[in-house]
Amino acid sequence: MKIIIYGITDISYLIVKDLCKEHDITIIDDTEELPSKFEKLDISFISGNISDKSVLKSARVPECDLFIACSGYDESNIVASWSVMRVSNIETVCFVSKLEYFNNISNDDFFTSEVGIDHVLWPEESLVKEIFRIVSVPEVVYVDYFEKGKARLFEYKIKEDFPLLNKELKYCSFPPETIMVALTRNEELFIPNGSTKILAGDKPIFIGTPKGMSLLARNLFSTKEERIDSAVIVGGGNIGFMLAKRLESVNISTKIIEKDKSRCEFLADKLSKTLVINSSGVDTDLFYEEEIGDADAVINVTSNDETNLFCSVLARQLGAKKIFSKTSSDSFVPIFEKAGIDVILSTGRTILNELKSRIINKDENILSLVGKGQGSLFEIDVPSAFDGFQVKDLHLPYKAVIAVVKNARKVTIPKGNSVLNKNDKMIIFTKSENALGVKEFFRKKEDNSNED
Amino acid sequence: MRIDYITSVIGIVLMYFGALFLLPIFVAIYYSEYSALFPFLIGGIASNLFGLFLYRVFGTKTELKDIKKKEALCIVACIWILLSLFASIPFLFFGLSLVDSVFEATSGISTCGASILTDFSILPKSGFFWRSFCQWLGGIGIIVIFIAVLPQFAFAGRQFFFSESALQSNDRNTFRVQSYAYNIIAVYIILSISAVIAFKFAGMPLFDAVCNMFSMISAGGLSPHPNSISGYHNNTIVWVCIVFMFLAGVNFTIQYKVIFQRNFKILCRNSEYNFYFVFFTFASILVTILITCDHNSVCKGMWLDNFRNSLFHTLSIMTSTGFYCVDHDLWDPKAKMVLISLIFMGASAGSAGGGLKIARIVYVMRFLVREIKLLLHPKAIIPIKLDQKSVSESIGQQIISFVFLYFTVYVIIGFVVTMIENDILKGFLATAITLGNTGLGFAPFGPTGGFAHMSTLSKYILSLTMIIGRLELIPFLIIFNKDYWHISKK
Repeated sequence: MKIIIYGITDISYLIVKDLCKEHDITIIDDTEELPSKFEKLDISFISGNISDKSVLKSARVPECDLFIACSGYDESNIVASWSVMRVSNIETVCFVSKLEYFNNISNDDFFTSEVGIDHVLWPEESLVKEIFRIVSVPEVVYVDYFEKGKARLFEYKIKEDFPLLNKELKYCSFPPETIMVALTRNEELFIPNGSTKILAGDKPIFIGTPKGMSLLARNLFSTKEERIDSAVIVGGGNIGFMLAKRLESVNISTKIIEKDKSRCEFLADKLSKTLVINSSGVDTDLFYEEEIGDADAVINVTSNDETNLFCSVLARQLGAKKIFSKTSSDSFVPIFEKAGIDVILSTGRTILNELKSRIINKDENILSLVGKGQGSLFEIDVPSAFDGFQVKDLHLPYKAVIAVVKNARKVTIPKGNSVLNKNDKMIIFTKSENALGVKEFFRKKEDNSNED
Repeated sequence: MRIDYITSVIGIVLMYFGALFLLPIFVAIYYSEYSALFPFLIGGIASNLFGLFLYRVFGTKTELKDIKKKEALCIVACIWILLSLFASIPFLFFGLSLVDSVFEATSGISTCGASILTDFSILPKSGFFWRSFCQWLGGIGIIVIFIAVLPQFAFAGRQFFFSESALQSNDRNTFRVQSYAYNIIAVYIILSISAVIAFKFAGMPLFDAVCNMFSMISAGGLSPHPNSISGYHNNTIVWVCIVFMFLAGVNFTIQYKVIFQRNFKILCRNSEYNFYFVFFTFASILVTILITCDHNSVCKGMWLDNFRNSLFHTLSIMTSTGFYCVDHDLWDPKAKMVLISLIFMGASAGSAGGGLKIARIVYVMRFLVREIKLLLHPKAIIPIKLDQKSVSESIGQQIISFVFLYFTVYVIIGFVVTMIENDILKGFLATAITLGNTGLGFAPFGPTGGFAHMSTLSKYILSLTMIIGRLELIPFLIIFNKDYWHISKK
């Protein structure tokens, strides 16, 4: 893939470093010279303003597949995306850091005409989403959403105290509107059948509607000790603010510690239930005074890695249950891990994952890869030959699970006797190696019915 | 302070005010009260000529361009006092003494609704009309009307507009003052017209409907009937009053947004409206229970009637209207105490009502809650929010000091009146009623009483108290600052 990247920043470095081996990358920036760390990578560089005709010409925009604008300025990124789009209808990715721009470009309901930029990424927002997922469903190993959140995929890890341990699946009753599609045991993913027993250490994957999944989480996986009811956020920047807002929405009692007074006033104005405390994160007295050790989660998201590390260690010593920390550099991750921090996240890493899974490695049909790529989830139309069939009568050639059936009105989780209609779409889960075969099976059915 | 500017503005206002005397004159002609023509004619001409005199002789020769804050405050204070004086002229001819005329007219203009009238036969119909009409003018704020109507006042701007009320809006988005004035006048007129229609349908004679409407929508309370609303013996009228008194106590800006912009969400989001509703509901239910369960009372056990009367009287006191539909002096003392506390609370800011205003009460409540919370979390930043928006510290300070000032002024005036009257109850009750612009209290100022028996000096002091309460203290307290009296040489 030919990719043009605009802007020399930490994030663009991370992207370039990760992608330059497999893709042909051109980087454009106003600076005269490429910084030395970029020099070590095999990329081409064009110095100049992205809006300039000659720069666009020498970048050969029409021959490229993807444009990523990730300079440090939102406005520059937006203008850059527009300039590129005026030359060719290349796929564009624009990085922003302000809520207003994000909503504007990602076409909030309010705006009626299209901006035209294909993807808008907000690194801090991705990080917030990630932290929030883990905080709100702490037992879950992996989470994914489909169909605008109407269908969800959760991967759990079975512990010794799981209520259905060592039971055969046919005797297990899971909540309605949920389905277990796969199980990973000893790093190997397989599709279970009725006689499969659930053992400790297994990682089952469930798909279901939001209602079903929350029942599942509450009935089977939620333990009192794991539930997060109170959280302390250290650092009231964009990440801290957005996170606090989300935590408020699920009634987690939240404190936020921020050292800048006017920022505190801003936070206190915009947040309704969160307690805003004006202090630096390295104020040990404050940590005792505000009983940070009793918090279920301590989330360190200041812009300073040292502060994050210090606060994490302090919170650990005071006895906080689960500790999150942000780090700006991947190379710090091992240090943080050694300090006993539960969840270590970096903006760059998160956004790179999102960029790769959403845009670069996307397959038109594959919705998601799970279990380290061993299982895949894809969408397929119900062939007209199967119109009126029950799910159990399909006789698929490989082991596969029809996880979700959706029609124009609603998303349902099918049972064996659910009836398929020809305008429905199915989301099918199977092992990745069988995905092609399953697709082929349905394509043949479609062709046969057309010939008839 | 530029004296010529001040006299110019006051002159203009007085000239136009003189023209408003034409309305009672029309009423007098319609009801063939030819003897009443002369008093109103004199009042109108006096006001007009005095205005012309101020404008021509002492007024500025240059164009009115800008206005300073202290000039605006001075103008507002002078206008309210002068208008009260000129409005009192007709009463002099109807057999009232000078002090009684001034008291009655001030009570009208300031929408207080306290009355010295014991014999209702001495006033002609046009006299009652004038009394109520003055309340209607005062209810919306005289400056608002002039800003909306007079092109000369386009220079006035925000300063002037807000000098009638000390409470600043918490809304950070500003608006053009003139169109804002139009908007709230539109709401005021819509309320007025619908109230007249509703009264008419409920069976009130047209003349009474118009006069009662004037007094009700402005939260004034001077009724042409000697027994106020209770004189009509009609429960439908009581219900109509409950609805419109409630509306008169709601911020007109909110009503504008609901009526013209169909923004119903604002009702849920506006803290002051919510608290107004909650306080009102709570107080009226409490009063209903207290009077129904009172063993000594005549109304014991009459739940439905008591509920209606409680709603009516709670609103009448809370919005500072001062109508009555029964004699609440006969009620249980506990219920009366609830009503007395409502005199101080008042209605919403930006409404026709008086008192401390709910927004301030809510702010002070939240301020106290915050102080306690700060003891636990000394380093926390906890803003005080109204309508989900933080109130800035400076506005907060103004509110706290206003509440403090309000009670200081109350105690001082109450003390003085007590000295004059030699009666503690009378002194402090009369002050509360006039400072809160309620106009109705309990014996001796209850439904069967009045202010007629007060001494002359008290009546003058209380007249001034009404205007002080109406203008929310500041234009008057500022007089005591030395810098205020600095007069520009040119």
